[in-house]
Amino acid sequence: MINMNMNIQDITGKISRHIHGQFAEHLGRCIYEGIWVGKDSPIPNIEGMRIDVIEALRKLHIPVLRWPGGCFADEYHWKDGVGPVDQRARMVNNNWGGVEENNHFGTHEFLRLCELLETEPYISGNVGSGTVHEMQQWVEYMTLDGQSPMADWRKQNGQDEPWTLTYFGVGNENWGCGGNMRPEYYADLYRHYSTYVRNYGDNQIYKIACGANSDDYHWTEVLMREAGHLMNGLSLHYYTLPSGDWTSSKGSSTHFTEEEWFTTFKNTLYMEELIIKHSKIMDKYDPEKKVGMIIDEWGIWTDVEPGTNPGFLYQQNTLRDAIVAGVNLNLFYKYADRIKMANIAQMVNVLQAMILTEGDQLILTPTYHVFNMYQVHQDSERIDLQYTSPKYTMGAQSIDKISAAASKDHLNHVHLTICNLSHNESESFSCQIEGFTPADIQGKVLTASALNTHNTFEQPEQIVPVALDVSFAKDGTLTFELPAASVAAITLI
Amino acid sequence: MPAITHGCKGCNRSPQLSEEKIEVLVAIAIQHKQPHELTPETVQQARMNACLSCPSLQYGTTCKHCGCLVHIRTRLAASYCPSPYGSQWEKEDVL
Repeated sequence: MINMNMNIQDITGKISRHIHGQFAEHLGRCIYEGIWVGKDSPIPNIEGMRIDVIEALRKLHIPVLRWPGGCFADEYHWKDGVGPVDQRARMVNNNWGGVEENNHFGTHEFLRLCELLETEPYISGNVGSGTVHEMQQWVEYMTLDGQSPMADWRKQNGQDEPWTLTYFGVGNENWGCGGNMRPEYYADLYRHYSTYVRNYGDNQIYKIACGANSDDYHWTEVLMREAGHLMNGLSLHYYTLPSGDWTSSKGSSTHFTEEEWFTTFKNTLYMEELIIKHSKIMDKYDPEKKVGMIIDEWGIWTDVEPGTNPGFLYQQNTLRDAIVAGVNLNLFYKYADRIKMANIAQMVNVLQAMILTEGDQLILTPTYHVFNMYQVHQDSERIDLQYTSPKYTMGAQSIDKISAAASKDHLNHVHLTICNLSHNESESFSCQIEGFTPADIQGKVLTASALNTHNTFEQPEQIVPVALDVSFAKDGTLTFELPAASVAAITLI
Repeated sequence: MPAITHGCKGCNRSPQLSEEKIEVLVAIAIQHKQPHELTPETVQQARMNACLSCPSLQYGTTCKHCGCLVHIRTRLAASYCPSPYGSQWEKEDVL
């Protein structure tokens, strides 16, 4: 039995809705086929974008969407992707094996997608192979209200009014695919490029600098020291690998042992150490926490689904992925005083996706269901939840068995999200609620009898949320039991 | 937690595949399949012919609608053609 205590007066800050952000890169079948099928496709579409995918994503109330990369961003020249579709330049996507990019999905299409999803755009600019002038003109093209060569070109291309663009990334992974730079060099480039990412009219850009790869603390130190005063956000990328090894097999998405299950969660929980240590460096240069930590690539990365093209990074998505998502989101809420945005990689058909498509079919993944269950935390006030987790032990190693978070929304509804990481032990909970007597309680749980349960095109509802039995006593005690390997969301109304 | 490589994540891999690589991937995909789970050679060849002449084939290997290597998908009896334009396989399957 785990005893929790929740006093709804113990508010420790606001959870940014942008923690529920998504990422869509020109890679594999994320953009093409996953989102964009073209106006002439037999798949029902609105202006070339799949209606089924848009309808499913709208239910998640995605707050922000990052595009066009990833690695693709530092190869992308935005002028190739505007104007009449049949006249757009074709290019070679060198980061993804030299595949042809026809630029049918460009700036106008992305910003239209954001309108349809009612989400805010987050654009990654090209530092690796682009110029300062090119970046300056892109921002001008999108946001300048008035007359200028770029604003006039935008109008010729069918968009009279400027778009509102808040989030702009100055490069991506510039320590790797974005130029193989040293932090000292990139810091100077950031200072240079970001100067020309201008605010036109009322549009205010939130500038995000390329941050560290995983535990490269030197990168964060240099960036904060040399350019911290010129940025609004600094990114961090960290992926959960079941094997923990980039160089050989990352591990199968669907065939794994109990030991690999455990190792996956041990590796995903490493995210907390990364957040703490990078935050400590950021605190040194920015004690008032003006610079947001932007975890704009995260998620589980496994070997590709057998039989699919290895370059497409298409992987299945099981109960394990769902708990990885739940654990990470709970962590991001815990450090919401510094973390202002996170973008899971990726939205459709690539890595830990919300949706998988095949032709005109679509399935929702377990990760989709977690994002749906957890969206109640968006812009809520974080409640300091008191509990001690028992240990989950495998061999000589132990991790916390339970991951949990709580918040209060603008309607004064209280939300509790909990993951049970154990592969074989259920857990009973007794949660003392102080300062609130609910009139109604709703609970949902996502679990399955087999750890590798996943949805397929043949069986699309193998794993979906079901009602969770929850009791509330007059003394203010909430009781419930979570099955082994589960994610739950409870709302007190 | 093992040490993390600070360089490339190893994501820079090509969707262009050599014949040798495809042979390896096919062998892995079918190694544990029972005979009834695989298509007869005539059906597999008919499916391949349809795929190889299909405008949705990418890089000579990959169906753009499902991301599958057609050399593998055509060999699995339970597979279907995912084309939203209608199956390109059906008439070949009954041969």
